[in-house]
Amino acid sequence: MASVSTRIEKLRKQYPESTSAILPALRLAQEEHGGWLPPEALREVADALDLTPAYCVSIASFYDQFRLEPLGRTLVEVCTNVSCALSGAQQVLEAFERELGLEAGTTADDGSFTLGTVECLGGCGWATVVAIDNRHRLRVQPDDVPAIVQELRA
Amino acid sequence: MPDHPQIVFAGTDGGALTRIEDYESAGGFAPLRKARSMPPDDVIAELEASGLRGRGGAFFPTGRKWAFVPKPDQLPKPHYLVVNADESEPGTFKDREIMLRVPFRFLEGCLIAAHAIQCEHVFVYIRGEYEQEFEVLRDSLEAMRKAELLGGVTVVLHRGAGAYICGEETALLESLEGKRGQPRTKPPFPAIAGLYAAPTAVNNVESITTVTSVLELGAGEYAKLGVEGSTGTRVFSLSGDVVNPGNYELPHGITLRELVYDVGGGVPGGRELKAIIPGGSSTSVLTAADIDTKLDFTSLVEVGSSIGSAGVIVIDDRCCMVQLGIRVSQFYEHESCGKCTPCRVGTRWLTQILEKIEDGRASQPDLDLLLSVCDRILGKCLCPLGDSDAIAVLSYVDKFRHEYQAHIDLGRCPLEGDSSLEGILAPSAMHGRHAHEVAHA
Amino acid sequence: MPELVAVTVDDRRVDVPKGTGLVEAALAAGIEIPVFCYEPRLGPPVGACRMCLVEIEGIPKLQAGCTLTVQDGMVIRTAATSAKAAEGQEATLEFILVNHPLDCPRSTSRSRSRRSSRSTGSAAFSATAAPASRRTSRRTAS
Repeated sequence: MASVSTRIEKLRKQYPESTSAILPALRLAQEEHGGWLPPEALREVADALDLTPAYCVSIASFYDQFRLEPLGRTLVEVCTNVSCALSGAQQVLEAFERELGLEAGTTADDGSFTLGTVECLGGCGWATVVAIDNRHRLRVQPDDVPAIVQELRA
Repeated sequence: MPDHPQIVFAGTDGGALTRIEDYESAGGFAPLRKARSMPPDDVIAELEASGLRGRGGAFFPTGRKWAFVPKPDQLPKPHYLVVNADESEPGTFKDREIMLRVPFRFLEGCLIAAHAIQCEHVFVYIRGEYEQEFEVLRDSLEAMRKAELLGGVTVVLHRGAGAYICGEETALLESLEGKRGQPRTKPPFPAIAGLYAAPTAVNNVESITTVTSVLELGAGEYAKLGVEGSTGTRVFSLSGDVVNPGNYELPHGITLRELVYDVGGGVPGGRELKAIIPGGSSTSVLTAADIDTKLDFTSLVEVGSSIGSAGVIVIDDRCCMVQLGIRVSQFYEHESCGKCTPCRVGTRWLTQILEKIEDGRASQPDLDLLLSVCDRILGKCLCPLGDSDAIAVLSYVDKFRHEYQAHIDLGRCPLEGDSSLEGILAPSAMHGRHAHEVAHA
Repeated sequence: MPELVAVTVDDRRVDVPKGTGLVEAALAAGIEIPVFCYEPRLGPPVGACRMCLVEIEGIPKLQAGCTLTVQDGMVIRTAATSAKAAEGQEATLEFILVNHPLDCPRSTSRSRSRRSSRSTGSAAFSATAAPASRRTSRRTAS
């Protein structure tokens, strides 16, 4: 696999102005660093795009999908916006809290899981939507949660 | 309910056309060939004649928008087509299904639009959370490239990273330029100075996909569907307390009753219909009394709401309307970009006042304050986000005033913990709740 | 001799060179529109603070004056002569103050707001006071 800088260089060429590549570049760097953007990742992106690390922080801090703090190995996010909320999202969230032994908004001490809530994922007709490492599970009910967690632990 | 013509989803028969050969057999790419054989201005004229209006929420006539873009000889700068695939309006999930099921029809529309505005560069800004949809588009684009269909047009699939505000066209352009997604003031409009300060048309996924169908059917045939002022079909996203949630392509002008009951199967569990949000969370709520309202632009304006993104959320009688206000206001508070004062401060303030009302700590002046803050946000913001919070909350109080009053009179929520939204944890409240419990452990 | 355009600000007529910004045109008419986020020496106007909201004849919605270039025949009303603009300006100030210590140092820029905090203080701090330190939404700059 080519280095992060090489891959960012390739991305950069797609855009008339190189700063445009910062979003895909940060996503790439984040994937390489276990799902978050430590200082080295920000420096890598900055160097590859002729930007400053501070600028990269200003961008990363704006967008919900970029993390500036360490993440668990598996990210579980329950949508709690209107339609999912009406369909029992809070009960789904609480089931995940019980099964994972985690409060929403926290990461397990052993670094295994991070559990959180998110705003509308665009799956309202298939409520409740749960994003697991950004792949969406649809129509999740509280009773489905123990099996999901077991599957994730395996 | 009679069978309604499928335009956007034509040829899918309930499935998907994700293989290029299947799409070609269904007549795919003939519209593109037709468009490319026409002068660009004739393609624009065809769209104008169709009456197609933007499906993202602003409902601006598509043909007219393209006509605003200066011709290359008037303004010799690269022109751009930017497709807004940042679908994030709560209650809306149609663009996702369009990209999954008819990716070639969508991409074909991009190429037709590029021809119409005479540009060679298309950017599709797709929300970061739509990973599967990005993969389908990427594979479809590759198949089209191999089949030599792109015709010298570069199509870049650009993934967002989680920001509702980037669905606002100028914020999207800022984000695409590699900056924080904060809206710009208009004028200048993107058609004149958009991406990289160059002429840019920004269109929604469903609009662009419909462009293909307009070229296929012809403007006249397309305009026969729907109603005057709102021609054609619309992909309605139906969700919430309804038996058959999902995306349904139906002509403009069908009633809420037909959508919610005939198609949607009504409210499950023997519950009563309490409220309907007709066009995504940024639109005014309607009550069961409005059930015969037609779903078209004019009819919804007449009842004091808006067709918005056609995200229809059905709400039954288990839902506390103050809690709904909190949840919706928390969303706008979280998503506020922070640039302008009334939105940055106002969304937060509305949430606080609503929480006070829900907790039973509010007095009469607090209800007046809530409405006053809404009025002070309305019409003062840089972009529609702040307004959306105010519009939503004002409508909940307007239609459910007795419920808000009851919270104040009783000093608690009348539903006493039984609301369907009870305890719902919003992202903006996530850390606060944790901190609160740690502090009080 | 640059081309001039005629504009009216709070019933005062003034001729300014074509391309003049609205705030500058008002100044030429002797009217100071408060601006908190606009400093020409720092860059182009952004229209962020909303302090400069004005009413322009023929446009239903209040406009951020700093972002506009005056056109010939434009009729502008600031908070001084437009109740709507005054409401907008006061709303902005209240929003700023509701989450802001009242004892901050006086601004040294030319654009000092003339409104005393006293007039909005009671409204701002009545029913619901924002807590002094709170979790800000990740996106907001403060």
